[in-house]
Amino acid sequence: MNHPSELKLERHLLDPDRSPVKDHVAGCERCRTRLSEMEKEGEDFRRFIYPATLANVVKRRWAPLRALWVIAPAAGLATVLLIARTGPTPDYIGSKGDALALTAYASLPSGPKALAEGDTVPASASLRFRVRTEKPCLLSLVSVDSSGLVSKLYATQEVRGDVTLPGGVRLDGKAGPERFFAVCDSGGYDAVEQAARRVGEEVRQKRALPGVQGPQVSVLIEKKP
Amino acid sequence: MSGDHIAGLYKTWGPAIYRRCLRLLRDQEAARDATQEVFRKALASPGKLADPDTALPFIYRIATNHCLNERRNTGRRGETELVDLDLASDQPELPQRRLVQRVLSRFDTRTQSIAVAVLVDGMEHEEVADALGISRKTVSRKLARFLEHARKYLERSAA
Repeated sequence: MNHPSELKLERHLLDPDRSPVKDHVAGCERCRTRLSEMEKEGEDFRRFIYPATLANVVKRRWAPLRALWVIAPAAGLATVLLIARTGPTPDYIGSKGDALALTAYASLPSGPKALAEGDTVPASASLRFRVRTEKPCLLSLVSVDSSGLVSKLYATQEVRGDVTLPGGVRLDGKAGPERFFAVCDSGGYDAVEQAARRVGEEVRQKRALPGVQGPQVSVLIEKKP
Repeated sequence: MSGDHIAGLYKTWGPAIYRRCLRLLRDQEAARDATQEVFRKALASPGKLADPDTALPFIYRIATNHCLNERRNTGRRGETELVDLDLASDQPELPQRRLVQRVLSRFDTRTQSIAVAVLVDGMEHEEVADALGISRKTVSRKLARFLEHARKYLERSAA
């Protein structure tokens, strides 16, 4: 017996009277049980999670961390911009002015630090990223560690100008190199991830993703326990 | 967008986001954190949240991608023991009835989303295509590839 998917049950919860699966639900104990669970989970959200998290959700995102960018220059920290490699691979076809710059910042006890290629950071440090593009860009940001593991940080996010990316990442606590690749590629995130997988374990040597069609830039960090 | 408007959208769509995150993460605290993150991401397209016809597939897509990424990162950090996902129906090629995280993690995010949508959520291919904004052919192709590789991987592991 085919049961309605979770998505169809969600639609049913929104408007049971107009639900195309209401006849099935009426005669299916399994679906009614699942709907009861879903209603209870929704009630848990309304009673406990909504009041506890509303303020976080409503307030402007990353407001405290925006202040970080004001404090950093005042503290005399150098902002190291990694200039885009507009022709990183033999098959790359770029156009003049397609510049992309990436700055990675580590949150350290001494304050935020802009990272240069090969800088050492604590293995569990938090990082934030800032990018600058001369043209609108569908940005993907991925990392590859020494085992070749690819992590998606931002996927096809439209950016233009000088942008601090929302949120940040916490490193995985494992010692070793990790390279962050920022890519403007209209081919979409999957193509970027596939290219990142081809970097494998050579993160120290490979500064550009192979076969990517747009501007890209990378920065390597060395994680220390 | 005013705070009241955001609060209204959060109250309307928060339960669906939370349920989706809870289903994929199997952890209330993790689901609570993920719900906030997913809603913030969804707020980047307030027009989609305003239309009930587009909101649910939109939320489903963002939440699924976010939570699958969380699962992978959690496994990578070794923070907690991940609970494997129960399959929605019998799959002769995955007889163990569970979608094992170590298998899932071997695929790109889109393939993971398709596999979870079909195998765990019980969605039909056309529904997956609509929800993820891809073609039905892509769904079939990526799912077939997933099942083939998953079966081989499990056979190798068993050996």
